[in-house]
Amino acid sequence: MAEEKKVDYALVNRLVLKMLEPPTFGWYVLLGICLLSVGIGAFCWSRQILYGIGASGKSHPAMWGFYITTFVFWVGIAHSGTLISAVLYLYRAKFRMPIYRLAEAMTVFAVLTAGLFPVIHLGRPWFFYWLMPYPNQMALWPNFRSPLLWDVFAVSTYLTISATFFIVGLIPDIAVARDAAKTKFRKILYSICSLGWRGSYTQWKHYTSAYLLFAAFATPLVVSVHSVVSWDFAVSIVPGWHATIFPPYFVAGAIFSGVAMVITLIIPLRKVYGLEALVTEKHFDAMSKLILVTSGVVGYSYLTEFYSAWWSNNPFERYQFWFRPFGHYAWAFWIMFTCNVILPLLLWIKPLRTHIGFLFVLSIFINIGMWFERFNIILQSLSRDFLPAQWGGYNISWTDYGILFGSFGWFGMWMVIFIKFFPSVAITEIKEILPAPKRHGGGEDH
Amino acid sequence: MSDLVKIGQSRRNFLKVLGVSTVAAGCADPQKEIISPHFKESSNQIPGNAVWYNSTCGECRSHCGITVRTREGRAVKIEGNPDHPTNKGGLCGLGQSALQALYDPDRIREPLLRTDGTDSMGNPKVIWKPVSWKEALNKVASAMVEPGKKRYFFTGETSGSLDSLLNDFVKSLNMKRVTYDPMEAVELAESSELVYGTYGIPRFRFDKADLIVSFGADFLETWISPTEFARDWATRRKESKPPMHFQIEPRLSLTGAKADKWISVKPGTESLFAAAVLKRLTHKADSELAPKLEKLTNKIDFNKVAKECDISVSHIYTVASKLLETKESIVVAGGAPGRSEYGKSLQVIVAFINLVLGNVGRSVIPSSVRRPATSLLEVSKSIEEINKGGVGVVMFHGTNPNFALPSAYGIKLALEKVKPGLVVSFSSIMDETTALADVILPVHHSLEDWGDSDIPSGGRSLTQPTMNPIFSTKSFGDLLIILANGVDKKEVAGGKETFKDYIQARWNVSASDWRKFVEAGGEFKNTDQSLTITTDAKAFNIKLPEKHGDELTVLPFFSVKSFDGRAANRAWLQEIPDPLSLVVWDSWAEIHPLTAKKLSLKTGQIAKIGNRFGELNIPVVVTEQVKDGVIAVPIGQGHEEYGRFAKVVKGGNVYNLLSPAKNGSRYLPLTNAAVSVDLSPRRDKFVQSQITEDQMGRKIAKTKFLNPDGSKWVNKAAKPYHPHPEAAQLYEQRKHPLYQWGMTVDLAACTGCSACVVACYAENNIPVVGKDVAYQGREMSWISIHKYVEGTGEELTVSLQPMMCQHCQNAPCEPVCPVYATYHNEDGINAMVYNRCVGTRYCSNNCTYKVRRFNWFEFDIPETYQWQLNPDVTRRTVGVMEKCTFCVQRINEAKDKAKDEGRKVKDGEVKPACVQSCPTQALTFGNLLDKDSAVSKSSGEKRAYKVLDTYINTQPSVSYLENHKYKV
Repeated sequence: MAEEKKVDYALVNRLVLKMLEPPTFGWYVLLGICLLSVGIGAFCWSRQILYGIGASGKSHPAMWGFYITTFVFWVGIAHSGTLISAVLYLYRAKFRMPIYRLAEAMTVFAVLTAGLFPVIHLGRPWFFYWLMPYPNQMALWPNFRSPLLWDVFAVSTYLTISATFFIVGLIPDIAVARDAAKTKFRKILYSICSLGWRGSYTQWKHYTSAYLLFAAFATPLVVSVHSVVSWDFAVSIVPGWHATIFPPYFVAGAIFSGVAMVITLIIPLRKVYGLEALVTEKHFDAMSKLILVTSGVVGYSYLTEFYSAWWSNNPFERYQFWFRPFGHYAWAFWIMFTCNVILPLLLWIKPLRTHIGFLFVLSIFINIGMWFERFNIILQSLSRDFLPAQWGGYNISWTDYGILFGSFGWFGMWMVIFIKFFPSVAITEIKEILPAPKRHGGGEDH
Repeated sequence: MSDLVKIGQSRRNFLKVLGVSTVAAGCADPQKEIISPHFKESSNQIPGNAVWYNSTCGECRSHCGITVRTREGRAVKIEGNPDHPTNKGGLCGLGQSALQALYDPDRIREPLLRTDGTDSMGNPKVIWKPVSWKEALNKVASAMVEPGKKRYFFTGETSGSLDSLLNDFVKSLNMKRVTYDPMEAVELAESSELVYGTYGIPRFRFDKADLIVSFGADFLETWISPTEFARDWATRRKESKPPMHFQIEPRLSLTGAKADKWISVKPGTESLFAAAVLKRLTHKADSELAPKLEKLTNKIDFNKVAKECDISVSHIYTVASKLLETKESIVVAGGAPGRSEYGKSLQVIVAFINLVLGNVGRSVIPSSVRRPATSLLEVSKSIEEINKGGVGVVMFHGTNPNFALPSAYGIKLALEKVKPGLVVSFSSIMDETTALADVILPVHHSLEDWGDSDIPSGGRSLTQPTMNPIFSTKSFGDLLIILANGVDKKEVAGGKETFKDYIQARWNVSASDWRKFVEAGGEFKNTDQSLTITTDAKAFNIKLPEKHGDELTVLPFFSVKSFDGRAANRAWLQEIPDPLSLVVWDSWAEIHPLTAKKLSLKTGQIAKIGNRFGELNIPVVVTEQVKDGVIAVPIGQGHEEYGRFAKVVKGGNVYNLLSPAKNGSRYLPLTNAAVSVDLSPRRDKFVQSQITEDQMGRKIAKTKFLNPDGSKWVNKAAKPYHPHPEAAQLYEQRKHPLYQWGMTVDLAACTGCSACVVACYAENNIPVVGKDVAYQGREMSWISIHKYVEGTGEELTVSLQPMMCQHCQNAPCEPVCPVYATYHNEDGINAMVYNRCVGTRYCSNNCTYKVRRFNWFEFDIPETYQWQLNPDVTRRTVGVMEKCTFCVQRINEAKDKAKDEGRKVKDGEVKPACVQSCPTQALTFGNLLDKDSAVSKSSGEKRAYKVLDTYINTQPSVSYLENHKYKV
C-alpha cells in the first residue's frame, strides 16, 4: 500500500462504504440474471425429483457425473478463501488484505453451493438426512467406513468454521457500516450484526486473539477438507481413482481454482467500484505467482499419474491412462490440460501477471479447466474400468446443464447480495497497514 | 378329483340345458367357472404359499415339461420339469417367457367381429367390434355348413389329441387342412423316410457322440429340440476331453460359437461339402450301399467343392478323417442355413453319412413320433384355390402365413377374395393373419388349457390349466367340439363335450393313473422302437448345387431372441441382448467387414436391403462372424401387427425378400436371395449392450486350448499383470456359522442362450426399460451374458460369460455405502436393503464387476404384465440400487423349511432362478461350507478360477470354470 500515498483511512472508508450505497439498475439486472438461473436450476432439480435421477445423464457404469464434478469444483473454489484468510494471515502475508474478505465470502458461498450437490445427486434426496448420525427409530447408525460420510463431516465442519471465521472478521467492518448507515433498515441490520462493537481496546484485544484462534482452527481445514473429498475417489478401487497422490493433488488443485475464482470476481468488482487504489497490480502479481505455483503442482500431478500407471504395469491403470488423452473423452482431457497446465505457463511473462484483461480471461479458463479436471477423473475412470463388457458412457442431458448453470446463479446470487449489504473489502485490516492519521497534519511513514 | 368331476358335470349340464342345436354353449362365462386342477400333493392352496403345476410347454415343437409356479391363482413363474425326459429341468428363454404371452397386454380379450368404419379423417378403417361368444360362434357355424363351398383350415403343427381332433374335425366337415410351421424341419423327416424308411424327425443323442459335425443345425438354440440337445451336449462338453465339434455354416451361430471349429462356407453349398465328406467315407459302407454311394458322389471333385464352398480343401479332409477315426459320432444338418434349395439333398447325404458311420440307432434314432405335416406346396395350392373364389370359410390357428411367407405368395390378396365367405382366426393375439380375419375367436393360452403331445423318447406329455383364464377366451379344443356339435357332427369328438374329456378318453387310463399323470405332467416311459432300415432308391437321385453367383445374398436365421417371430411381442426377449450381435430391441443385418467396406456401411447405420420382392431398412452390425458377401438377418422381427413390443422393431420382415419355393418344396428355402444394399434414409436409435468385445488380455473369460488329441493342455500366451501373491489379510476373515452360499459357472457348458436372464427377469420382478432407456445404457438385468471375442476369421474364439453379482467376501461395494444399505449377511451373501438405500450409487462405482443396477426412473409395467410379478420379491422404487441376491427369497424359504424340520438345508434343495433354468446345467449353486456339496466340488476343479480375484482380492463367491476348446 505504501506507494499509494493517497490511500488513507478516510479513502478506505469512502471507497468501501460506497459499495453499500443503494442498488443501481445494473445491480438489479445482475441479481435478476442470478435469480433466473437459480430458477432454471430449481426447475431442473424439481423435474429430476419427479422423474428420477435418470433425468440427468448418469448411466451404467458412469453412475457419477456432472453433480459430483460440480460438487468437487465448488469445494475446490471454497479452498483458496480459507487459504488467503487464515493461512496467509498466520504468515502475515500482507498482499492478502484487500482480497481476503471477498475470498472468504466466496468460500462460504461456494461451500453453500457445493453442499447442495451431494443432495441433488442422491437417488432419493428426500432421505439425505439418513447420512447424519442421529438417534432414529430405524436403529441404524451411518457407516463410518464410507468416504461419503467423511464428506458429510468434512463439508459441514468446513461450512461451520469458515462461516464463523467470516462473520467474526466482519464485525468491526459492519460497525463502520453501521456508523455510516443512512436507512433505518440498514441501521438495524448492522446494529445486530456488529454485536455492539464499539472499537474499544478490550474489544480489540479479545477480537484479535479470537481471530487468531479461528485462523488456527481453519488452517488445517485447508488441507483436510479437500483431502477428504479426494478420498471419495482415492479410497475406492476404480482404476484412475485409486491413487495415493490424490490428497495433495486435490488440495493444490483447489487452491489453484480458488485463486482463479478470486481473480474472476475481484476484477469486475474493482472496475465497477473503482477499487484500483486498494486492489493494486501488486496484488495481482502475487496472485499470479500463486497460480503459477499451484498450476505447476497440478501439472506435475497429472504427469505423475501417467508415470505411475506406466510403472505399475497394471493393465487396468495403463488402459485408463491411455484412454484419458486418446479415448472417447479425449476432448475433455485436452481442455483440462490446456487450461490448467499450458495456459498458466504464460504467467512466466512478467507483464502478463499484471495485465488485468489477460488475467480475467485466464482465470475463467482455469475455472473451466478445473471443472474438467474433476469431470475427467470421474467420468473417464468410471466409463472404462475392469470388465470391458460393462464399459459405457454418459449421456449429458439438459438437466445436467441446467443444474450446473443454476449452481453458478445460486453462488452469484449470494455474492451479489453480499456485495451490496456488507463491506466486501476488509476496512479494518487495510487500515492496519496504513499509516495512522495524524491529528496535527503532515505524515510520517514508519 | 372331486373338483374336476364337478367342473365336468357343470359344463355337461350347462350344455344339456342349452341344447346341442345351438352353439350358445360357448357363451358360458369362463370367469365364473372354477378351474381347480391338480397340484402336487405336498402343496395346498394356502394364501401366501406357492402352488406348482406340472404341465407341458406349448411354445415350440419340443414340448418340454414345465412346472408352473402359481400364487393366489396366478401363474408367476415357469420352470423346467426335472422329471420330464425331454428337458430334465432346464427351460429355454422362449418357454419361460410364455408368461408374457399369457399376460400379453395386447391379448385379444373377447370375440371380435370385423366391421368397416372410418377414422377421424374419413378414411376407411377396420373397427373390431366385440361380440358375444354366441353371436361369433353362430356366425362361424353357419359359414361352416354353407353347401357347395370350399373350406380351409390353416394350422400350425399339432400333436397328440389336438392333432387327432383337428383331423377328424376337418374330415367330417369336409374342410381341407393345411399345415404350415416355418421352423418345422420337414426336409429332415422326408430324408429320414428316404434313407431310413421312417417318416419323421429322428431322435438325436448328442450325449452319445465323441464327434459332432453340424451343417448349419443350431441345435443349441432353435433346432428341433434345443433344450434337450443342449443338456445332452453339455454333459459331454464338461468332460476334460470333450467331443470335438465342427460347425459348418456361413454365419456363426451360438452353436457355432461353442464349436471347436467353425468352417464358414458359402450359403447353400453345405450339401456339396457333405457330399465331399461322404465320398471319403463310402468305403466304410456295406457292400450293397457302397457302390451306390460311390455313384452318387462320383462327380465330386474336392478342389472344386472347396472352391464352390469358398473354403480350404483341407477342411473337407479334416472333417472326413475325424469322422473316420472317431467311433461314435453324430452328423446333423438343418437350421436356417441348411434350408437352402438343396436342403433336402443335404439331409439325405447327412443321413447317409450317419448310416455309413453306424450312428443310426445310436446317436441318430429314426423315429415316427414327430411327423411334420407342414407343406408349403399345400399352402400355395390352397392360396391358388382360394383365389379362384367359391370359398365358404377359411380358418387359421397357430400359424401366421401372412407374416411367415414371402409376400409373393399373395395370401393377403387371396383372403380378400373369400367374401362373402368368412375368414376365421382362432388366436389370442392380433397377428398379421388374424388382422385379415372377419371373426376372431380368442383362444386360451397353453397355460390355461388342456392338451397333450407325444414325447420322442416315449410316452406322452400332458398340458393342464394352471390358472383360470384371465380373459373371455376359450380352449381351442373346446371350440372345435362346440362347433362340431353345434352343426350336428357329434362324432368328431366321439360324443365328448369338452376337450379335457376328449383327451382323457383318448388316453384311456384309469382314473387313478390319470390323476398320477396329471400330477407328473405326463406319462413318461422309454419305448425302444424296433429299427429296420430300408433305403428308398430315390435317395440316390438327389440334386446337388451347381455354380453359385457372387452376388450379395441375404441369409435369414432363427435366433434365440425371436425364433421365427412368435416371441416378438415379449418384452423380456426384446430387451435381452442377442448374445452374439448384442443388439437390443431391434432387428439387424450382420455384414462382414470386407463387404461393409465395399458398401461403405458401419455398425449402427441403417441399411436398405432390397430386391424385387421387398425391402428391409435395418441397422448394420459389422462382424467377422458372417461370411463375406452374406447378409445375415434374424427372422421374426419387423411385425406390422402382433402387439406393442413387436411393433417397436421397425424396418421390415425378412421373409419378404425371399422368392417363393420351387419344385414342390414343402419348406421355404431361406438362403440365396440376392439383394442390393444401400444406406437407408431411415434414422433410428441403435442399441448394443456392449461397446467392445475385446477383453484386452485381462483374462476375464478364460479359454484353454486343447490339443486335438486331447493329450495335454496348451496354454495360451497371456499378457502379465500383477497378481497379488497369496492375498494377505489385515483383518480377521468373515465367519459363516451355517452356510456360505456360492456358485460356479461352467463356461464350457454355457451356450449364452440367455435362459438364465429370462428366469431372473421373471423371478425378481426386474423391469423392462424399453428401447429409449436401454439406449441410455440403463437396462436393469441382474445377470447378463458378456461376450468377448479373440482371434479373427474362422479362428476366432467367442467367450460367453454370464456375469452377475459375485457376492464377494471382500466386497468393495460394502464399505463405501454411507447408510449400510448394502452389507454382508451371515450366509456370505452380499445383501441389499432397498428401503435403506438413498441412492449415492457409490457401491456401483466401486463394484469391480459393475453388476449393480440403479432405478433411474420408476419403471412402468403394463397392466396385465403386472399380474406376473412374483409376490415374494419387492418391487424396487425409484432412486435405489439393486442387484442379484442369489434369489435370497428362495434361500430363506428353504432355510425356514429346514429349520421347521430341525435340519440343515440339503445340497440342491435351493436353486436360484438362473441355476434352475439353465438348460445345460452350467450353473451350480450351494453351500461352500459343505465340502460334499456340488458347488464345493466344482469350485475345487482344476478349471476353476475367480474373475479378477488374484488382482483385486475381492474374494468372490462365484467361481468360473474355464471354457475349453480344441485347436483344430
